[in-house]
Amino acid sequence: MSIDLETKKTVKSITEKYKYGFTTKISSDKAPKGLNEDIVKLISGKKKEPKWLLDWRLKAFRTWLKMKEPNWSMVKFPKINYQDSYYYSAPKPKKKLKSLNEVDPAILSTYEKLGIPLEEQKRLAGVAVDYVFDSTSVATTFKEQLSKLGIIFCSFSEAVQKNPELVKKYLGTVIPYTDNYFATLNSAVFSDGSFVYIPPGVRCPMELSTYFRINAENTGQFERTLIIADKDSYVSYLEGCTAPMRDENQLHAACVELITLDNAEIKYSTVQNWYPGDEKGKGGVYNFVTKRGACRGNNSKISWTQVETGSAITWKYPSCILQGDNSVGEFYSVAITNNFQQADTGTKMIHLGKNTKSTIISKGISAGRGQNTYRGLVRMGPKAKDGRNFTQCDSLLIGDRCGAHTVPYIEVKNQSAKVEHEATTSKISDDQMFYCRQRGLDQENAVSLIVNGFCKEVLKELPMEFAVEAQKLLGISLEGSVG
Amino acid sequence: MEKLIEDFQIPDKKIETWKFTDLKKVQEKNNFRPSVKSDSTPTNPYKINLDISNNIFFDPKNNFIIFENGYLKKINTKSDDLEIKSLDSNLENKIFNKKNFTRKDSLLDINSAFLNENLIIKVKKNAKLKNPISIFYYNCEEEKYLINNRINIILEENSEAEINEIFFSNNKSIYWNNVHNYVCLKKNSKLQHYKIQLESKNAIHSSSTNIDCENSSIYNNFIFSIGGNMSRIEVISSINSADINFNIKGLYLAKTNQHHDITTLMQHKHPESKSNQHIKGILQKDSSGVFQGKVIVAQDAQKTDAFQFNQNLLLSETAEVNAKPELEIYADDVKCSHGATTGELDEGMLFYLRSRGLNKEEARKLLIEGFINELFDDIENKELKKKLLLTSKKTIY
Amino acid sequence: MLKIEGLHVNVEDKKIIQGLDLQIAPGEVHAIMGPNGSGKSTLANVLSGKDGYDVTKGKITFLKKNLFDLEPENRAGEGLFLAFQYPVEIPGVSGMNFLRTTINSIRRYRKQKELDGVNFLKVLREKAKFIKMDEKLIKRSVNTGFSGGEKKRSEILQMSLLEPKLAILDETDSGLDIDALKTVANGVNNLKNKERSFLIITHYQRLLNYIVPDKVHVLSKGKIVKSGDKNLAIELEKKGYEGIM
Repeated sequence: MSIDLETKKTVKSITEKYKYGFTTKISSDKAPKGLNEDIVKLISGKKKEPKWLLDWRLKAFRTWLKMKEPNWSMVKFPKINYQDSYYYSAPKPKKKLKSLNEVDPAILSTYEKLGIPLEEQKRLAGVAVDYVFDSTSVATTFKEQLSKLGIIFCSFSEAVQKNPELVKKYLGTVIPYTDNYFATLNSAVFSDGSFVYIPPGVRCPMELSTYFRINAENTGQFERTLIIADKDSYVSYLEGCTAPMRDENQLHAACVELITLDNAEIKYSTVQNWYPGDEKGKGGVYNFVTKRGACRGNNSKISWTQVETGSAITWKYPSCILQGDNSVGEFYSVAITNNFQQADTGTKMIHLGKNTKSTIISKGISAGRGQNTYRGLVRMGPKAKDGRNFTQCDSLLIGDRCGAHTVPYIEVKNQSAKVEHEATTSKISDDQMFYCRQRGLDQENAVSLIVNGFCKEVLKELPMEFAVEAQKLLGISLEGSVG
Repeated sequence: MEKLIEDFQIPDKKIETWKFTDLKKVQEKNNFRPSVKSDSTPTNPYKINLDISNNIFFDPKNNFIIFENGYLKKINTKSDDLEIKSLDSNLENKIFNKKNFTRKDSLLDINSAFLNENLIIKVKKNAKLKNPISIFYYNCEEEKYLINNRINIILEENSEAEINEIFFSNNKSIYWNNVHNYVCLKKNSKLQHYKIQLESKNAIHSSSTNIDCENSSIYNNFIFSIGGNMSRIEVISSINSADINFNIKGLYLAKTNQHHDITTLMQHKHPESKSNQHIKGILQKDSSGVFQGKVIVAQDAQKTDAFQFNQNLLLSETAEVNAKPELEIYADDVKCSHGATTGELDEGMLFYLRSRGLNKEEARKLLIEGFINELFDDIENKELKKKLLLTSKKTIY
Repeated sequence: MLKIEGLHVNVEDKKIIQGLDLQIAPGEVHAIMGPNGSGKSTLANVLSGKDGYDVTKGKITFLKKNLFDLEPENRAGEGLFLAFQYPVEIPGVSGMNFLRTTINSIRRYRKQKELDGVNFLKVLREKAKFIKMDEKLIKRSVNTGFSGGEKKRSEILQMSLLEPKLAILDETDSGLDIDALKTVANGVNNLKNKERSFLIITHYQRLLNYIVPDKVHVLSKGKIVKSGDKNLAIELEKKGYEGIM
């Protein structure tokens, strides 16, 4: 072991409690607990959805009933009682909102506590924010500016009302409702989420951003996001989340679908900081997410960057289907597990088109009793002539009670394709620690510094303002882990 | 009651460790039946079959064991330090504790249920065997037999030995060879273990070598897999104490519609041991290759040094390769890494050779040779190394 | 010997060489100098026949043959040798085996008798000794794990074994210490004769102190912008590329 017991104790004593653990008191419009066809109909009805969407939800629900919870990942958790959850809750608007000033002050103060700069600050930073509070969007900014360019950036429900043809054309085409247990559940009961459409030739001038937040007690979160980048367009999308402290586990099963047409690019960045549970492993969010992008067009590109520091259990594999010739898929990931957290995350790069390229950089950090698994698939189809993949997975272990695992699948059916995979496992060396301390850093700062260095290749992929936040998070997430 | 082969679940892709190799399908197609000892087995002194004595890996100077069509024909020991005999199954459980090797498939159960021969090879304390032990598994029958044999190997303290297993046939026969090895390396012992798989082109080969390693022992395994229609070779280690040195080198060469699978499991249970795996594959025509390697480093196995590398060369448009190099690490002060590459011959290298006057074919040949050579570099038995190189060249060109 | 007329080369649709003319007579030593990105290495690679270079216009004749009709190995056979800027590492292939295979393929091409093991070793030892290349290095895998200097020495050894008519040295001097530089220059000077020509591609004038060129050309943006004798190189060293152009 690299760090002596005494320092461990010292550090433990100053461990900061989960910083973002509080609940906002506002009244929720809740559907009864439990899940059945009536609930699905209720959700759809509340949102005044067209029949085709209700039918789609019902098909998904009926499929879900026949499916079994997957058990192939390295994560362990008690059986989830899906009937003991609320599937719909919306904050009650006092009246129709005209501006952010009319938003429930309790909500605004929540964001303040989270340190999310609002309005003017964001405008200066060039960020349009579509706040998702619990399940329904309550405020959207920058709409006007974006709409001038023909960009659609709104809540999913709004898109269903205003742009049904786009939603119908693309929904479920990347993640079909039959895809997997959690995606199918999401398809049946998804509450709301974001919708983005970038018209041909448009480069979105600002980072689009949504902050998610679980709030009402026992509310399963089923976000659904759909982003379409039409020909020759570009968009960078940020997703960040924190959740308040809870004793009972909360299920979060989101779906994100990305589509790029010819020469288009989507950059999707996530900082995930749901409540991870306490030091004893009690509570915390179950984050079972399906994220997938399809590079439909030639020369298109999808880039996933994620910093996963929260949740009791993370189970997600942001993937790319590289259909178009010369299309590019990227996956940059930092996953931290501390205390009793478990993460099983990675990506799938499915190369179908000619000359497609993918890069995977994964950095896993395990501390405490955390278990961190990289699970990835690189598949070169028979037509993926000259396909290229480079994968690098590095694991860092802090302490001797945690685990770091690497499970890559490499399937090559094309002679000219080239796949390279590398993985290493290491710890923070005594020499590094000593060097930092000799230069005056305390243990905690030294660890934070070294970990940030370890993750540099991924962090540099994040948009500037996000990167700063992420760096801080790495430090906070590892508090009390030293040794 | 007598068991039937139908009583067993033959492994297929539903089992995670068989994700890329479907044995069930092959069994359904061929319907192999457990072999039966025929009454006509000659009791008079056995004369070594010409196919065996003409085999390039046969050396009369060596200690040897000969199986013919699944049954033991001859044991020839040249040293008093070496003991080879049949082992009673009941006794086996008393001598060996095989708790370190649990399986999630039926292959061992099948082996036990229809076991033809169960041998024990024992190398005495402090003995350094001068001559290798060669084990020939030879087949010349065209009946579709499922052949089950088991070899248990013990190297006592401070002993050293080399064991070569050669699987081959007259190349017409069709059979499924299902072999299990259990190896126990006592303190300070050293074993060179070569597995030379040259089965007939219609045969199925499945073998599993399970190695218990004690203090300061050294195990060097070399897998050479070129025969059979489908082969699955497993090496499973259990590192039970400190200062163990465990090496696996492997080469699969596949052509036509062959399927080769090398699967390894490295269980580091104690601190301060080393393991090193280097597996290479060359795939031609419609063949497919699989490497699955898992390294588990337990919480107590601090200061483990584990390395794993898999390289594949695809030489045809229809060849296919699947790799799953896995790490499962529960200790922090360890050095573990793995790598896997798949591709054609390197274009930069090809151009360099061509700019020096070699034509495309010559350049390719030289590069393929180089690819193989790297693996053969530290084979200790130079004679054997020559023969293996010769055999692999014949397979590629 | 070599005649390049109006050469235009693109790499991935980017124009790298744009109208280059150059003529080298037997026995001449030419030096091409130029800043980074001027197209020096592209020229070397096009001459030796590497893939990925799109010749859009122009002609190159080598010993009266159209160079573009020849595969890389046939160019080598005809007597064109490229000392690589970054010699390729080939693990598993021993230097000994490699050298013998190449020398004999080239001898076959030139309709000369192949060398047997004994004669090959004799020639190899002699040449290796001259350029101070350790024989142990030759027994190892080609270039694998060699230092920068060792790699360049190994290129010169190959050059002396393959006896080319035109040798192109692509930044052979980069990364060499002064002793290695002298050995490399010595190797080249020793090979100089009335028939054999050299094209030396370099960044600095340093190497040209040891190998005296007959002509010096300055390459910029894919064109030769200035030619002169060895004094041009000295002038360049003093004034820099900007001062000259």
